[in-house]
Amino acid sequence: MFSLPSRALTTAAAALLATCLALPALAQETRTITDDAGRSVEIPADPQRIASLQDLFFSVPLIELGVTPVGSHGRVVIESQPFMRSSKMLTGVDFDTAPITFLGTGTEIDPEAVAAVDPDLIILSTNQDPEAFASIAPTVLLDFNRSDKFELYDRLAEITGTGDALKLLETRYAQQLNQLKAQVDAPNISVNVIAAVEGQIRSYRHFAALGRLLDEADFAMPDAVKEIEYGKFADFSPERLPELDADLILVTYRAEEGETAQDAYDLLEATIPGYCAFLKACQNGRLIAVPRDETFASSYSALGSLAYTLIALLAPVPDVRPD
Amino acid sequence: MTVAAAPSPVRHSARSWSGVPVLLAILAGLFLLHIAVGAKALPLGTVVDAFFAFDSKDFDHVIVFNLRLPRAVIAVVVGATLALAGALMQGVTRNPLADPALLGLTSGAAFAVVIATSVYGLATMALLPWIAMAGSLGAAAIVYIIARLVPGGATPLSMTLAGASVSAFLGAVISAIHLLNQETFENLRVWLTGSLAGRDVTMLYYVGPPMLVALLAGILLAPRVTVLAMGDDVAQGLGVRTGPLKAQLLAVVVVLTAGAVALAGPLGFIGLVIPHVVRLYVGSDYRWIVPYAALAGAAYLLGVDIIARVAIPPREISTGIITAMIGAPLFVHLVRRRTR
Repeated sequence: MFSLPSRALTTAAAALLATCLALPALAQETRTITDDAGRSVEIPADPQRIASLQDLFFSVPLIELGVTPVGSHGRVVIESQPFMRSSKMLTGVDFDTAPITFLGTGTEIDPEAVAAVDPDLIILSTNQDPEAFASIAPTVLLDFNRSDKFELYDRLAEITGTGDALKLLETRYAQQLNQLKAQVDAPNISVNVIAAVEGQIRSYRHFAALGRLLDEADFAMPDAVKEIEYGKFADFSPERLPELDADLILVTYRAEEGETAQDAYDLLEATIPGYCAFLKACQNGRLIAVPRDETFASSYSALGSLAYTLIALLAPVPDVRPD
Repeated sequence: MTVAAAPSPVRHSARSWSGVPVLLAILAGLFLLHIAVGAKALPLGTVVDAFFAFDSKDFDHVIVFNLRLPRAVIAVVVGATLALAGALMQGVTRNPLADPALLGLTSGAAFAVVIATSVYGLATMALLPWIAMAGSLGAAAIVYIIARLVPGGATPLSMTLAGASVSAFLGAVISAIHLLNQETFENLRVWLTGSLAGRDVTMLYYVGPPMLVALLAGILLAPRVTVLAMGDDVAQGLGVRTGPLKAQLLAVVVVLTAGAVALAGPLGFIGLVIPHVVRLYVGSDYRWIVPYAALAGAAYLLGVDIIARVAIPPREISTGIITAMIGAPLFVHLVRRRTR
């Protein structure tokens, strides 16, 4: 018979207690999913600490699904703090309004910055290397270049177990879409979404939120836009301006960078002096500037505000005639 | 390198005269072609009508007069000035590799414009050429100081190496600004590749007068560049005050380069390649090299821009990309030809 020193006993008891406390975490349930690269990944059944390596197409949808990532990719401009593109405008959530750590910009995100937020799941895009982060937490690779950006919601809801939240968002959007279709004769109205970019006219076909709305409401489009692949955009020479005319032209501007509707019109004028005279949409007061942040996000909040914008622009108005 | 750029005895005098109308005819032909072709096919009659019976309500006339014509004019101005600046630099430095880009002038102008627009949010176009000139001059001063400080002084080799270093450094700083300021930098992305698409023709009002003065000064100074290219000692022996002459030529080159960068971004290879092509025809007399380089540079950029506009319709390729894609193999060909 021998006796252990009391200090050794205390240490052993502490170690046992620590092990017991850690057991729930170690025993966290997992499930297996297949990501967009075809990789089979074992992820936590209920991930609580997600690091999102793309702001606009991962972080914003996650926030709309009710999941706040612990860290996110973002953007920088010299004179301001880092921000998540379009997030504050669409959700109110950003690095300065929520406990989200800025992880970096572009595709070169430092794995050490990701490790520092202690994630239990990392969601990254196809232009990032999952192996660089694999030792930190399970990595799920999603392709945000897909033509239907809203498919990302299905994937993110599947990954985060927020299918119910997605159903609510879809239900709300369906009501908004029905209102639009009931009040606007969409199939007989052509719409084009354009922006003046570096001396060219960029036209978007069914791109992101505005694209989905225009498609599902069944709006018509100019023939030139039909040349563009679904969910993509193309740059046209200014010489083809009349081919881009439509009943309604929505021209986008970057509100988040401080641009205004007037900036969008000025850019068009600089690209094609006197452009308005050659677009019947403009002549009829139907060339309208809309924020690019909402039109190009994959966001249910954006879908709602855009639906009401189109109703306000295109629904019948009282026939007011002077006596 | 000094040997390669040193002038041979003046020659080709009669032949040189005969080339001017030929080059002018080529330039005029390319100018008309530039205006006649584009993303939208226009009948020749419409193109002619746009000039002689312009109707502002006819979009085809607007295409010719407001879109194609200003772009062609800018191509002529930028091509001529960059080629002329390159020719003068090669003569002054007696370095066949000298051109505004290699000696840091283009990078300096681009750097200054990037800082002014993306960091300080400059929106006044009137200031842009002056800012570009300050950038070019600053880069030239740094290159010269570095070259002076190395053992052996400001030789053609040390100037080239210092220019390459300064260009690389400024390029790295521009990249760093890009990383720190991604969103606002988007507006400069295409401009930094060198592009004639959507350029603001009103910029010509600001850069045109100083560029015209510099162009005339370059042509007037050209005979003395021929002497200077024989070496400082020879030039001084012939009564040329080399110091003031070099300063005048540097001012001419800075104004021309900065104006070209302000108009079209940092277009490469024109100032490097065109003087070599011209030298094959007119020899080493800068009285001929300078005007020939201006005409050939204008014609070259017009031709390149036609390709950029029509190669993959409906899209356009950035002019600077085509300039480099054609200029690089052309320069290799010229080097091989000289070394035979």
